[in-house]
Amino acid sequence: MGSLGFIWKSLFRRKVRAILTMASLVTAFLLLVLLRSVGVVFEAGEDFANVHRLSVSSKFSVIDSLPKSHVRKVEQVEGGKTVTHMNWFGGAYQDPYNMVMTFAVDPSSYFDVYPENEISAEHHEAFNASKTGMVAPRRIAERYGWQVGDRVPLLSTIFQYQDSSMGWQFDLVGLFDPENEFGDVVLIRHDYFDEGWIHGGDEAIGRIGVVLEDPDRAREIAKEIDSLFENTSDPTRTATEAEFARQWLAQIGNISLMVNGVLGAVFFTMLLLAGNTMMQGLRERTPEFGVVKTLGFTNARLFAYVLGESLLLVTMSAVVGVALGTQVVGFLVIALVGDMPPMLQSWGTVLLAGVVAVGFSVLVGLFPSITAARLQIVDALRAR
Amino acid sequence: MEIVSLNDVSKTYTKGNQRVEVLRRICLDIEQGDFIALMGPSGSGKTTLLNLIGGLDMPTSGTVQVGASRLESLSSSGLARWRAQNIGFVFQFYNLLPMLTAQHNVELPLLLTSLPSKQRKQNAATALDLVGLGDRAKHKPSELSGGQQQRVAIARAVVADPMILVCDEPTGDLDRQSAEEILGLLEILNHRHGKTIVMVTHDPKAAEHARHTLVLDKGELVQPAAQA
Ligand SMILES: Nc1ncnc2c1ncn2[C@@H]1O[C@H](COP(=O)(O)OP(=O)(O)OP(=O)(O)O)[C@@H](O)[C@H]1O
Ligand SMILES: [Mg+2]
Repeated sequence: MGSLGFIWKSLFRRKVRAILTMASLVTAFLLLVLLRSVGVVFEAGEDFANVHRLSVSSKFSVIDSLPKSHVRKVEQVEGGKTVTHMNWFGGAYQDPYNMVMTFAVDPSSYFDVYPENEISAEHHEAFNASKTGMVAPRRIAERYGWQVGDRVPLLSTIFQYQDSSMGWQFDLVGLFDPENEFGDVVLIRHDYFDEGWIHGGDEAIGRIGVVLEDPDRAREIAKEIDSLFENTSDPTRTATEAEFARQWLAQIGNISLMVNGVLGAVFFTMLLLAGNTMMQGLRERTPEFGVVKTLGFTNARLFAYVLGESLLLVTMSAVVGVALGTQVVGFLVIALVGDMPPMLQSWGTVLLAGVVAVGFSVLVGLFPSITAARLQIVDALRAR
Repeated sequence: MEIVSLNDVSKTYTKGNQRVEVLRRICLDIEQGDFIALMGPSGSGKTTLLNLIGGLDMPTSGTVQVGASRLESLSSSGLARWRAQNIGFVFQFYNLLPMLTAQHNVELPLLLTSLPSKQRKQNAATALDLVGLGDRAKHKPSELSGGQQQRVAIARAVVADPMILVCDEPTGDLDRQSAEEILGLLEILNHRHGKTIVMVTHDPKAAEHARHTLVLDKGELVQPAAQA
């Protein structure tokens, strides 16, 4: 038995109590990973907001559509360089839960407005030329084993094909490389979508994207666009992507606050519980501390051992909790989205868990270890 | 040659504004290799005196010299290290750590040495053999009888090979037969291994095993130490 063995045996002196305490700490760290991952997903959007682009959507709601004639009119507005439009298609591959985010776009202008998606001239040309064409992020094609030239069936989440089924067929004609995983969106052609949709034919579009010549005039141009349609049956709401992101973030700010609040409450409760357990242990162990001091353990050594117990307890729980949490997040994300975005495997959460674990151990262990170190042998021995 | 030398030692406890003089101007020399029984009524200060000799407590005045060390001059950590090397303690209620096996209880003082783990293990096993409990190494204290627990405690007290054993009523909680076994063990340690022993006891039969008997009454030694 070495020092670590002694600390270990002291910690597990009451197995059931120690294991219950560990189980609740594991749960707390599991929650930390789960909730922080939610936070990471929400907060990540911020980095990809763009101030050079305006987004035009229906004033009523983002799911209401706009007539395609709006696109021509927006193109007339001075200060807008390039304009494109897109519809949300939904999309799932093979299994309705296997979601593949898909947009129906205008093939010729889409990549001009979203140049962060790199596509070769050859593949772009093929997309322009094939009405049933589809282009996919390389990452997604690799995941599903799609090859250029394949016929890929996709299920739409809400849009029925002409034959009243949800099944659509597309020809994979090209691949592109999005800047980051937020760009992992499969693109199909809007004209084909409009034809194929059982209720289509009116060329309705979901959203218009405009690249600005001068970002400083964003507000002015947005106003001008909205005023064009103010008194029509399809009024619009225009803002920069960054502005949308900010509104989104304002809501997320609340979510983050909530997430952190819940975590704070969880750990505060744990602190009270673990602190109470520690204090109980302290009382019943006072004569023992007297004994080991009698044997020649210095105050400093006893301090280290008692603090070591709380470090060991919390660190082990943190390792198990983070490992479990990462598994659960991975499982959930794969079940819901089909792939694990690399950002979720970030070391940020692990680091946070490490810092929380050390801080927590010290908070819980400091008082008992100081008390143990300060005990007078004679008093401790008489305490039995 | 004296191994313990107390000179004019007093110990006073203050409770509130009440001062209790527990030991009054004690002068005491203990020869190396002696086995002393310390007797006296309850509350007469026996444990207090023992604690001073073992370096668990400090006198209010006077000096305590044990071996080459003046205990009042040592720091708290210096005193702890000194105890680890020089004193073995045996208590009335054994004071074994409940979560450790007999083997690990005996190994505990060796954590303070620089011995490698294998050597620690072996020394602890030897000490357990010495007290006749080699076959109970894996037992927890709760799985041992009182007499067996006290023998484990003695193994723990001698495992680091101290020069003095300090025992506070080591048989106070035991039946006659277990008590005799423990006293026999202490005699062996005294005779064969040359340990100096100071033992507090209320039991005159126990005191018969010692070479000398001292009596403490109301904080004073009433019977001077007879010479061997
Ligand atoms: N830490 C302390 N604080 C206050 N008073 C103490 C303390 N330790 C001992 N005393 C008092 O000192 C006196 C002597 O105590 P001590 O334990 O030395 O007696 P004892 O001879 O060992 O008695 P017993 O035979 O009952 O063990 C008692 O009156 C006790 O109350
Ligand atoms: Mg006593």
